[in-house]
Amino acid sequence: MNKVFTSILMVFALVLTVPVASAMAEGMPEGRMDVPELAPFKYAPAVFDHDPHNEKAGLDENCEACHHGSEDGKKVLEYDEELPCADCHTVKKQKGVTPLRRAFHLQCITCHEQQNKGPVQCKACHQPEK
Amino acid sequence: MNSLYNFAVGPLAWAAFIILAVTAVWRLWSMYTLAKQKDASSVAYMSWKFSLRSIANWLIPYKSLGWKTNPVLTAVTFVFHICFVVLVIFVTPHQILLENAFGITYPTLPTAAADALTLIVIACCCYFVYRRVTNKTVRFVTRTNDWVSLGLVAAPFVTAILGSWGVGGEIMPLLHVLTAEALIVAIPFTRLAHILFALFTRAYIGSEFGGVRHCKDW
Repeated sequence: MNKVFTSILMVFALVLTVPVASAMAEGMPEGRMDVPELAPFKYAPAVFDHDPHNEKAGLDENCEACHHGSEDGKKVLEYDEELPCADCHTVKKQKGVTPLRRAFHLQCITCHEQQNKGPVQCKACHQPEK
Repeated sequence: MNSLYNFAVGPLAWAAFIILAVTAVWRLWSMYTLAKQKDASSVAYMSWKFSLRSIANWLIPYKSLGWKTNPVLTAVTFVFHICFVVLVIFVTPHQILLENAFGITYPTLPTAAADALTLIVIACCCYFVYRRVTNKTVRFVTRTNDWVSLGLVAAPFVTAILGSWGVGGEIMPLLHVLTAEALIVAIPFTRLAHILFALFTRAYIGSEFGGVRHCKDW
């Protein structure tokens, strides 16, 4: 049994040496998402700076990678710059509409998963504010 | 790291829950067939009234003689199980995972409260270890299975609190998910099987005491 405990302790000792910095994506500025509709926050707003993110992700003018529009309450792929996300994606659940927090989470995490780039863990985006 | 984490919260999580569901049904079914084969009279005496009466009375802290005999263990046991269930359901990241996957929303605990409950669970686990080592009677019946079960239960909580404190960066949440999945899969095969069997054990004893001995079993 002692051998088991020692190896478990060794694993934890090893883990302690892994720098927390791995959570900080290289070259990403410390701008944060600004979505006051979702307040009060249990976690600090996600680290996100629009232009540097898109440059790093190679999105150029491809707004539709994240944004979309709406016609008669139905999602259309064409981006409508005049239409804020929260106008359709309400904070509270509504039939046929993805609520705001889920929309953001799915938008970011799904893409990060598909591209296998960018953070996918809670605190990698919701870094505690210093 | 990302692909490993995505695999752990995705396919591996599905695998863990499916394995649990299948093996849990199998364990319950084989136990029922064994009881029918070797202890048919007990199956015949099973009664809803005496079963539920026993379960209800044992759910109340210090109601039964068993709970009164070891007051400290009773307190720790109740606190441990309540905190365990509350944390599994009401911790924010768990709800967010359910929300992202299935659109399920409900209120969750503030981070500080979740941390406090996690530390309480770890403290309870420490007490269980202390008791197994210091209490002669308990030590005599302690097998490797008991230590493995206790370790499997403690591991997700230790990794959860370390992750909450930011120790180990992205590795800790990954370890949390992996240890929790190990715990889920281990339920039917270790002492953790009491999660499946406890109610039936209570029902069995309650039915015997109520229907055969005509007395209380608490």
